[in-house]
Amino acid sequence: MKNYLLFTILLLSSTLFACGYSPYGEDVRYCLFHPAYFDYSNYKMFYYNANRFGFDEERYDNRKPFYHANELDWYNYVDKKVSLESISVFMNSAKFTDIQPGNDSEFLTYLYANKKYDAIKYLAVAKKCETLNSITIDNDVWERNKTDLSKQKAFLDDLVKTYQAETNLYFKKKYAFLAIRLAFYNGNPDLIKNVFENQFKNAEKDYLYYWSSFFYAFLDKSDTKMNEVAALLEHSPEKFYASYYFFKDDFNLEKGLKFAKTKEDVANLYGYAAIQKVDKNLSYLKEMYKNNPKSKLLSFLLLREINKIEDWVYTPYYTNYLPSVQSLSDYWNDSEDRATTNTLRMRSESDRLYAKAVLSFIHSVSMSNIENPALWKASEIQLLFITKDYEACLSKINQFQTAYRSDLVWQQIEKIKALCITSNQDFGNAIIKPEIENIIQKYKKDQRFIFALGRELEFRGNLTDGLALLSLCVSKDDYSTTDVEWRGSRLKNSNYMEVFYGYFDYVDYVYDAAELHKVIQTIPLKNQTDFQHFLYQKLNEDYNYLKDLLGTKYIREDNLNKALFTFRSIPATYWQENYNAWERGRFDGNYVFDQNPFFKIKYTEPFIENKNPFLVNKLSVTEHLVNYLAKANNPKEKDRDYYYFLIANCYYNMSDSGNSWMMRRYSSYTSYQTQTDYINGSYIDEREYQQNLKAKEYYLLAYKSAKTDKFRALSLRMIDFVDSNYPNDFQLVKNEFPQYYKDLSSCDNLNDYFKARR
Amino acid sequence: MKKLVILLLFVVCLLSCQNNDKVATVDRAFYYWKNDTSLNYQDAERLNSLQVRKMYVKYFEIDYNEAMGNFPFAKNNQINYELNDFKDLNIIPTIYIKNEIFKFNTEKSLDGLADNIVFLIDKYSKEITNATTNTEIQIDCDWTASTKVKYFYLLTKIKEISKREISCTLRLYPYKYPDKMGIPPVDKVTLMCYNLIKPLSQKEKNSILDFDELKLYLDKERAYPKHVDVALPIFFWSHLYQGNQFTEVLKLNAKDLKGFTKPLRSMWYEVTTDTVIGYSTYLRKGDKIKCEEVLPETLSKTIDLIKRNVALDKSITVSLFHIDNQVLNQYSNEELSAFYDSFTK
Repeated sequence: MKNYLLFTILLLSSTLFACGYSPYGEDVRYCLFHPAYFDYSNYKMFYYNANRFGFDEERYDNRKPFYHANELDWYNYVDKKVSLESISVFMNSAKFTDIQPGNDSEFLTYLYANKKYDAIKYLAVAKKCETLNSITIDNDVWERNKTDLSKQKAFLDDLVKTYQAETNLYFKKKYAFLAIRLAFYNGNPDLIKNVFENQFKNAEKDYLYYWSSFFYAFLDKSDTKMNEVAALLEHSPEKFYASYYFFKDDFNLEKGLKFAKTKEDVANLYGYAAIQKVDKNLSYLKEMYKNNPKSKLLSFLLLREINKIEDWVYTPYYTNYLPSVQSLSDYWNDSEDRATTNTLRMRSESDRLYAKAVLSFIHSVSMSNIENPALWKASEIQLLFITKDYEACLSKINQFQTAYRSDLVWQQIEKIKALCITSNQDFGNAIIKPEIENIIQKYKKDQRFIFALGRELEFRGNLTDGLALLSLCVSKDDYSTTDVEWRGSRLKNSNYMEVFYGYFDYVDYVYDAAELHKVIQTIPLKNQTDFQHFLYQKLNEDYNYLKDLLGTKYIREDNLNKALFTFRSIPATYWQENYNAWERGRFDGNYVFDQNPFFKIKYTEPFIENKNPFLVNKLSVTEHLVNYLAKANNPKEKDRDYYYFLIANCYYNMSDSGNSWMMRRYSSYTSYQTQTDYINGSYIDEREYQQNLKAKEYYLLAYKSAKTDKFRALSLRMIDFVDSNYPNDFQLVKNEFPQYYKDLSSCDNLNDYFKARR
Repeated sequence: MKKLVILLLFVVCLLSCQNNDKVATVDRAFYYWKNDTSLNYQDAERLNSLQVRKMYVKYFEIDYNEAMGNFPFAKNNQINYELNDFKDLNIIPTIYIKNEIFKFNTEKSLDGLADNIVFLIDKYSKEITNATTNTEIQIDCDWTASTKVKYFYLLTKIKEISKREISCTLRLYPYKYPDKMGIPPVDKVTLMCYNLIKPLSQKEKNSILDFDELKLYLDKERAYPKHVDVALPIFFWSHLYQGNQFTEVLKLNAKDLKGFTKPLRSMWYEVTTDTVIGYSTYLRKGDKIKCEEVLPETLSKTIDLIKRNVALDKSITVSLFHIDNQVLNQYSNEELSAFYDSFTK
């Protein structure tokens, strides 16, 4: 079973999926309202998250672990004269043999020094008991299907005697618990029943009562036990997870409610039913509040509900991913691929309505009645922001600030304040207000916050500041779940969305040249204040790369003059450091212009003499393309066919099949998606990139301006070639120049046919 | 007593004069040249036990084309892992420059090339964490009389930018004819005592090391105006001829050929059984193979000749070209050790 679980964990690990697959689950789940802000770390196994099996709880809340009830109990026993830490270390690490005078444990030293021999005797028994607890069928290492429980049984007999003989109630209860637990492992239900009913059933419900009731619950096969089990989830942090793990399959809310004796029982049963509910939970929250408003579990479940709403609203709104918690069958059915930005937005908006309902519930609650008013008020602020009631949200933040400024949760509220101030602006007029500059700098490492703020600005038409914020979100190589990954499309109604890990790729795919041009014009102006230096550090660092991108976008949009103007505005050192094999710039060895796109066809022996070679980069290619086009389009030019041919070569080489794909793209790929809606939704020049329309157009012009049949045949041959590469029937040549078909079916005679131009 | 002191001083003087002409210490080195070089733990242990502390590692080669200008290729930039098991290794980044590039370069473009070379050397050196890499750079180039000015200019620039000791390789021809070929502006040179004949050009001669050919260059004692280190070949290769036509180079030595060939004459073998080599080469009965390797005896003679006719300093580096698992396995530790030690005897 362990192996199966391990396999499942590995299979579903988001880290693995993130590597080579589209990110999902915790990689994309949006959460600003972190559980770590609140004191619910003992519920952390039930934090809302996408990893359903064995997630690493420390990643979600690395606060100091809570002290167990027995450690606190001993702390009181020693009149707080010994540190809790030393008690905890003793409980977790000490062995039976450590219990002797002279041991350097602060806790033991105190007990010996103060002659607490009852306690020492008890601890020795408890430590012996720990070893014997583990003798179970699982320890049958020789697989003989039997375990020798005789030692355990003998010890249990002695333990029961000790328990019975103990007259001090404090220790008697402790011995009783030890006996119940060991009886459980020894398979002695009668003893459990006997000791529990005598010692605990009608006694005060302290931690030993709940710990013992956990084992007692195993004896009870009826639905009545659910009251006891559900109570553990409210009262016994050490048994939170075990009470859920062992009894959840038998749990039935309706049946359980029939046996509830008190209002608290009712609240606990709703709490138990809600603890791993992945859908809307408001009705259960209301029932819990009605029956036990002071419930700690209720407060935790409210926190969990806010995290759900964040996932439902923020994840699609900010990242264009579906909410992270969904059934696996949805994932495998590629449901994400069928979502468009528009449909995701609409879903997000409808989930904001649910947020409104939860907000109404909070408004109906009396803050003096509940267990954790700070959490409830913080939740109210969060929901006011989610429901876009910005004015009310800011007003509540001001009130909250007075009472809770020193609380950990104030960090969260400050972030919401920044988001709220930013979102409370009209489209076209949104800016980063001076009052949030400090907040941005203070929380610059919270990528999800910075990203959300950037998106809010972007959605309100301030792309430049939005991108500046997005640029601060740098993806780490370790696929950390604190990174931001998001999807996007050029068209809001497209089913095809690219995945992004950084702002540059996002701008590359989604925005057109005119939009990027505005950004590039603005960057140099944002250099006045310290905050602007901070905010624009990445965009300034990338300035030439962004200009390169702008020029590339102009190439994609076939605006060669603007491309040339843009490329010329980049310093020569940029071209010297990038797109070559010297590894000085950012691009690796895959981004090398190693052939001249006018004179060389990839995988084909050179057949055109290049009399004026030049170093190839985006600038020089564009310069020559503009120059050759001017010549080719000039009716007085005698070599128009020659120039049209070179231009066609260049356009072909700027496709994925060519040697200069870097003119249009930042990564080389061959798309097997040729459907119209994919092509329309992808890069603006995807059709050209896949289908070489311009190359064909210019080979045709070369054909029309040619003076000899051989050159005409060669031009047609190239149209055939760029249309479907090799193997190729060269149908156009076959139809019009059957006499040259054999020659032109291979690469061997291309040089002769090119020379035959005149 | 006075006479005895004078006699002793005379003897000491005589001895020290004699020692001036003899190599006293040899730094043991190897060349790490090929991109597909693979060294295992045992190889590293062997080299450690042989006290090899210096390795000339080819970082990359430089060529030129019209589209890119000068460009690096055949990069060896993933070797850190291979060096894990070596102890106290000093790596000398070594760059091979094709002599043909100088035809296309001006002083200005060579300035840029020098800057790029040093940049890339520094970049790769930073990635090597298991060895020292910052003492020296070696440039390997078969320069000619017509390219010497530009080549020497480039060497000067590399020195200027890198601020490191610069050495270069020295073929036997420029060694013998310094007036014609010039003296490179470097701190020291490594005399390459191999590849004297173009491979495939002379069927009966060993193109890796032909002793008679070597003697033509080392025909009398010569002093070179730079400190001279020495590089000796220990590699091997075989040339496959099918239907009297050369078809490919095989990484096989004479031992490997046993079993499916018969010897014809010195270095030449005929395939007697159809054999597949490395899933790609199909040797058919009747194919001819010329196997070139360097026997320990030939290397011993070569070392004697070098000692006689090359003026060496007291302390030199002797490098074996090149390191490789298969090449290393050709020789015993004693043989490898003897190649180094012979210079001091």
